This record gives sequence, structure tokens and C-alpha cells, in this order.
Amino acid sequence: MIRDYVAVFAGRSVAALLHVVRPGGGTALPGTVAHRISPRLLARVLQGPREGIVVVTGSSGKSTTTQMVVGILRQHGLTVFTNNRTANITKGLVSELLPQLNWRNRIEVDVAVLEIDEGYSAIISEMVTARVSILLNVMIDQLHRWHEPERVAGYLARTAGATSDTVVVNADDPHLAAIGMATDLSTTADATVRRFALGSDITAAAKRTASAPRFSEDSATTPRPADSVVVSVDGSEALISINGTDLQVALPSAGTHIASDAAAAIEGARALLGDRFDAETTRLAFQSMPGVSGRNERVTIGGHTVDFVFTKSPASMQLNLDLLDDTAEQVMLAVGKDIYDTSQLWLVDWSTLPDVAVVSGWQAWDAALRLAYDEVAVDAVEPDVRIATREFLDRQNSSEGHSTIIYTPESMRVMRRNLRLKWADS
Amino acid sequence: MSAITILDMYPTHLNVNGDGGNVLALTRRLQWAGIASRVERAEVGATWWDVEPDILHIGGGTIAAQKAVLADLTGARTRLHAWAADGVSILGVAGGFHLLLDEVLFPGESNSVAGVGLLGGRSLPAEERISEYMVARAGSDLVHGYQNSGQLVDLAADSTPWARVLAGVGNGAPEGTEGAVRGTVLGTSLNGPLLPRNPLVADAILAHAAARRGLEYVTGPQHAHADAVASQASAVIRERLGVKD
Repeated sequence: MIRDYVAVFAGRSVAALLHVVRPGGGTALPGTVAHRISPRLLARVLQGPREGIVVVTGSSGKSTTTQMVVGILRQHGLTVFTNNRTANITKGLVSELLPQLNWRNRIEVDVAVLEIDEGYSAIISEMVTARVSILLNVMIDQLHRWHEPERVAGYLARTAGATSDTVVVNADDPHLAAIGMATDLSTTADATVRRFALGSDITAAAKRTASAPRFSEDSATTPRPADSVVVSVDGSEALISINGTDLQVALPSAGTHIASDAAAAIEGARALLGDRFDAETTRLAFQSMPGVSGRNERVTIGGHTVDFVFTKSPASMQLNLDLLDDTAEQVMLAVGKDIYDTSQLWLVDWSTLPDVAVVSGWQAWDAALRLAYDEVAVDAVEPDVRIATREFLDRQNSSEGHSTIIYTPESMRVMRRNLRLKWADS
Repeated sequence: MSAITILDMYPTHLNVNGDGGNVLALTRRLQWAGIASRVERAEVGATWWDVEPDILHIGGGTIAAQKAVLADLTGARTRLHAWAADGVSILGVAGGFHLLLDEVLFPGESNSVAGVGLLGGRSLPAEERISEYMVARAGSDLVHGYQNSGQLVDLAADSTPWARVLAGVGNGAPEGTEGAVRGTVLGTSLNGPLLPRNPLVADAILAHAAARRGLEYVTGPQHAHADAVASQASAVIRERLGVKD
């Protein structure tokens, strides 16, 4: 297609120009230009991978799961294209693909594993036909954008419908269990269903469920047995039963939600690899998987230990708060613009937090209000993240013990740029 | 001294926007005032109408959740009306407000269903989804919050709106009105934590509930601390929306 060549040339020219004007700055503009010139470019580019496309989507855990699927497939000897998590909508994805295209405007890999925003997974899956889709969860998250969790469930149902081979669903999630059953019963859907779940010991011990409840008028779904079940989690070690065969894996970070992502990734990889799937190779893949930089990590700043805790949806906030190291002595909370409607902060129980030294971010006052009603003492409120971070860290450097900074994505970007910390997306 | 009883309606279904924050605000403010309280949770199919509440809170939920509780709620219509006549404070928030109206036409449906009928008006599907902050004037007080709704309210001619919209959408019809009030029943589209954001509204409800029990509700330093934070939060929203005091 001539149009594709024009689109790629224009997109690359914009990228080259931007590289001169704004070195190091990531942007979706080249993709926007290329996509406007040739809207079908993405679909044609993604016909390239010989073994097709794996789409990973859902409210939470997309980046982690994508990274795991990529790790497992590469360890099995496949060549893989994957996208950066900030490029998970159409134009960003095109931007990211542009530099990697060969002279035929294709990417030369065995498989593409794409992390796709839950609002775009339906459009993109329908455009490129996913061979495997991995549907992680439907949570109460970003309601200012989605309005109702049911709408996200609708997008994921369409994603399942546009999948040619295998739909991998979280059997613990009410909306996804229903999508799994609908796919099983459908006379038009080609795909088969694989399920992953947490074992009964884990769900019995869990304080809360992360998934949004489902209140549909149609009959309740019959639970189906899962293919991969997380039997137990001990710190960052998980025991996963794969159709009855146990596999011990090292997780990139601690938590049952990470173990659930691992089970999802294993089922996705099995769907793609078929008989080539090997348990030992998979174990090795997990062993060499890096943590997701910029998210939950421990950093030393000026000789002082700081734990960064990344949080986005109310459910992930709760998981992180429940996991919080009780040795944290100094806490900073930064809630940015991404929690657009701060009503969501009231879905979370903050009472386990120790005293908070400073509350910051675009939504600082609303966050402080939330803490007041859980009777968490707050020393200071400073909406400017740069000032708050500097004062917080200055104070910490003159004291013993370690600090914890809990932040949402927007506050994370401001803070990490300001602290000149390695930044996963650039 | 018996505790003030708060009946929280369908918290499993109707808490999509953190509406439980209203119940927390009520219990905390009572605790800070030295008044005992207890919260009863009403779930679909349970015999919640045996509770003798002082305050009834009904929060917001998705369309599917509203449909799932409607029959259980309207089945107790007589009891709910008796409570209202008896001076029980009833607070309907977002979807909970819509269920208290005379009738509800859910988005995607062609026939209306009967609501509880404690507030005069109809719930209708909104042409465009509303998802934005709102500031309104209720009496002499400014109130604020977030409205996230696919439904609008068409107030009956004899209904009293609760507030006048300064920024945002509100009921939809009549234009510029927000919420509805009848006796001790209040409905509003300000979703989620309306009461901690607007402590004057919380205190009006609590003072009434306490007086009904022969108690005096007096605020103290803990209220003052939380309310100073709420006042800052409110100022931030007013500034962002360009609303002058």
C-alpha cells in the first residue's frame, strides 16, 4: 500500500523532528500523524508476526502480565515485539511500531504481545484479530472515564468475541467468569476458554476482593474449574498448579495479585505455545524477570532508604496499603489528577496507615480529608509535589529508619523527574 | 442512652462512588461528639425493615445494581413512608436519590418502573453522560461534589429543589436545580462522600436525629480539624470551577 509508505515516512519524519526539538521526550504525535494518513496501517503491520497477536487487557496488572508473557515466550526461543505501557492506545502503539518496521512495513517477529488499555482493547482486537486475549479483571476504577464497571466489561466481552483461538479469563472475577461462560456457550465465537484463579486457601484468607461485583439480571454463572490455580504465595514465591502439575515460580514482586498475573501469563503462554510449553523453561523465565521499574521499588536517596508504592485504582490502593511494611516510619502520600473524582478514595480503608508526614498532589486536600475521617494524623498538606518531596526527603535524611512514598501515576511522573530517578517509560 | 441507628441501604450494591463515606462521616462525627451510634447494613432479601433507624442512607450504584435492589426497596414502600412521616432522616445519593423518586426510566428501557415515591419527580436517561464536579447553593450554604451519572431528574412541579447549581449540571429539569427535599428526606446527585465534603449538611442531619432522641449534638475540636480540611478542599474545587463565594 502506497498509503502505508506515506504514513510511515510522515510519522518517522515527525519523530525525527521531535527528536531534535525535544530530545528524550516520548510522544504519540508520530503515531497520530501516521494513523491519520493510513488508518489501516496498524492492522496491516500486525499481520506480520508469524504466530499472531496476544492482547493483554483489564483494569489492573496489564504491564506486569505483559512482561511475564513476553519473558516466558522469549525463554521458549520465540522472538517477541511488545509495547511500552504508555503506548497502550492506538496512536501510541503506532508511534512505537514506526521505528521497528522493515522495508515491507512489517515487524519481523514470531509474536506480538500487546498491553492494551481496557477502553481500546475491543477496537484494537477487532482491527488486528487477536489470536490470544488475556482478560485480567474488571474493577471499580477511573469511573470519571468509564462511568460504570459494566461498560469496561462490555469492552472486554467484545475483545473476547474478536479473539480467534483462546480467551484467557480470570475465573475469580464475576464479569470475566460470565464472559468466559458466554464464550463457551456461543455458537459464533471460535475461541476456546482457559481460566486462571486463586486457590480456595487464598480467597478464604483475603480481606477483600478487588473485582467489581456483578449485578446482572441473567442467571448466575456456574463456576468452571480453572486451568491454572495459585495454590499459595509466600512473599515473592508462588506455587501455581497448572492442570494439576505444580510449578514454583519467583514473582517480580510480592503479592497475591502478582501471583494471579503470573497464572494469567502462564495460561496465555500455554495457549500460544501448545505442546512446546515447558514448565522448567517457564520457571527459568520467571527467575530472570526484572521488577517493573518506577512502581513498587526500594531506592536509596542521600543514604536514606525510600520505598515507592505505586497505586492507581481503589482496589490496587487497598492491596498496597494492606501489604505496607509496618516498619515504615515516615509516610508521604501524593494523589494526582489521575484520581479525578476523589470519591474513589472513600472506597479504600486507610486506617492502617501510620501518621502521614505530608499529603501532596493535585488532590492533596481531598486526600487529607479522607485521612481525617480514618483518624490518620497528617502533619502537613502541600499540593506542590516538588516542594513536598524535597521537604519530606530533607526531613528524612536527618532521621533514622526508612520512608514510604505512596503515589499515583501523575504524581509519580512529577516526582521521579524531579528526583532524576530512572524512569521506566523514557 | 441508646445509640443513634444508621441504616445503610444495600452497601454491597450501592457504594460504587465511595458513598459509604457518608456513613463513615455520620458515625465519626457522632463519635467525636460523644454520642454512640451503630450501623445496620440492609442487604437484598434481609429483614432490614425490622430496624428502627434514626438515619437512612441510600447510596449510588450502577444501573444494573439499581435494578437489582429496586424490588426489595419498593417492597418496603409503606414502611419507608412511615419512617419519613415519623421524622427519620433519609438521604438518597446519586442512584439512591433516583430510586426515591416517583418513577424511574432506566437507560435502555422503554417502560418506567415505580420508585419509592418519597420525592416527587421522575428519573430519566441522560442524553449524554454527566461526569464532572458541581458547586451549588443550598440555602445560604455552598455545597460541592462530583456528579457521575447516566440519569437525569425531572422534578415534579410541587417538589422543592434542594439547591441551585452554580457550576455543573444537577437535576437537568427544571434547569439549574439540584436535588430535592421534602421534610427530612433529601436527595442529591452529588455522589460519593457528600457529607464529609459538606459537613454543614452532615451536621443538620445529625442535629435533627439527636434532637429526636432528646440528645444534643455539639461539635468539638475534632470536627473543627476535619472541617478546616474540608473547607480547603471545597475552596480548591470552587477555584477550579471559577465559582466566587
